[in-house]
Amino acid sequence: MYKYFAFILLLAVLLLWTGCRPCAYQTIDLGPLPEEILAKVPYQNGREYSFKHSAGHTVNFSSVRASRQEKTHLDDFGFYCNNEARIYVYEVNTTSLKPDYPIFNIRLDLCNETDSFYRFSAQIGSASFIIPVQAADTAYWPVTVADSLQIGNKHYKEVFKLKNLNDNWYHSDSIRVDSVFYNYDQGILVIKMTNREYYAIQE
Amino acid sequence: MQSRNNIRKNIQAQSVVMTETETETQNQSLNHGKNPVQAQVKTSARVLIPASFESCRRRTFFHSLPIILALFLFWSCGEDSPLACEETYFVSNDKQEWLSEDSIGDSFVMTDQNGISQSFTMHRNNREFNKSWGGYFFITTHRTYREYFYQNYSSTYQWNYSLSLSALWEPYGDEIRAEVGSTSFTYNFNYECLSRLECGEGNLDKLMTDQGYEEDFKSYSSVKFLDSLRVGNTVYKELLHFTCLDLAEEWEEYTVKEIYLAKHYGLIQYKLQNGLVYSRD
Repeated sequence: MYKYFAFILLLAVLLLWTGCRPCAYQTIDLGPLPEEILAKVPYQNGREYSFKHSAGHTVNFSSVRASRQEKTHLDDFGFYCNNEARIYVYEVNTTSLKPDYPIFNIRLDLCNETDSFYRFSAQIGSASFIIPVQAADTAYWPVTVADSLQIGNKHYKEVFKLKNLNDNWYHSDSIRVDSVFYNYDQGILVIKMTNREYYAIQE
Repeated sequence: MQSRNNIRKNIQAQSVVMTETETETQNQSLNHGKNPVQAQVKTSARVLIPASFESCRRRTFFHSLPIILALFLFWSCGEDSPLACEETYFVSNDKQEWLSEDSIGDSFVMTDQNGISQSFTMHRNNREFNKSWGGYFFITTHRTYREYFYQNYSSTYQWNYSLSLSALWEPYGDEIRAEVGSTSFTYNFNYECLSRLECGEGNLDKLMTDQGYEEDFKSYSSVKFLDSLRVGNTVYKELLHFTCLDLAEEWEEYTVKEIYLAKHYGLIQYKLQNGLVYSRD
């Protein structure tokens, strides 16, 4: 009987030793976001930015901008380890714009999550957008580029028109964010709603 | 003597497989036959057979008593006990008129004084029966089903609006609950009073007893019924107007202070602490 148990115990130890030994990870530090990438978001921490609604009311947004370091989640590797398990350490730069009126919050995220590209995304209420980091990226996202956009008497150059990625989830007769006009110098220029109302930058 | 013993053994052996009635019949047949041997055997059988059989039967009965009791308790315990009497309470038809006639996916638009619009889209529209049960010790004696309606909407700017109607047990009757943002109120139609309210982060609750609500807090908030109200170009009839006047220390800039509900439509208007008014288009 004891022999039987000893055999089972030995088998279990061997199984643990061979199959579930601690994973050997390789940590790859992708470093901080370069300045030219951070410059894609023009908002500065602690400042106020104004947008005028199409009906005339001005909404002020206060900005909070900060960077933090994040790691690839260990769960991403699943149950088994292999020799090529890598943990990426990267920077996330988040800008939060909080309104002084009961409408949506705005959030912009820049990060270098992988070594091959930078991720730039925006969240306006429940609407999501991917913003190209360079003009060449526009082939991959629902984005069009306009040479210029006129708002009031001002002209804005190299403007991206971004479509709401979550738009399919909504019912057709509800009012939601339809699209956003963005450029690297001024940030969000216009937020268009589906009922023809809009919020335009006020400088 | 030997033959008597043989007969006795034979009868004892037979009695092992006899049922109670069968033993009785056997004894009677022994009595009617006038054979003295049989009569003596009958007397012996009366002493020997029933004694072992009766004691066995009693033992079995007393041993199985706890099992029977446990089975009975198990059967009668819990929410689904078949012994419990059932009652179902329905929301009265006239109170159901407070529900909106929208379906899931339908929207209505509300605009504030600054011309900023938002739509409220229905996400849930449920009718269900809430089950509750009670009794003595572990035995369920009664079970109730209460009809419950729930409608929920969310808006363009993440405002949440919900309306529910519940049928309560006697003596409470029906109640309505409306919630806009972080403000909600529950009004009991039978007692014509607010039974619960939440305004900002704070809340007040009335204690429910068998005799009705206990007046454990003094509320200054009000619910008034209006015959009609003009909102924009539309005149709504049969409205309920809630005003929050309690928990002032919990109010914030965007705390909802007033709610207007109309029969068949639901939310018609609401006002914030900072003076913003949202009206149905």
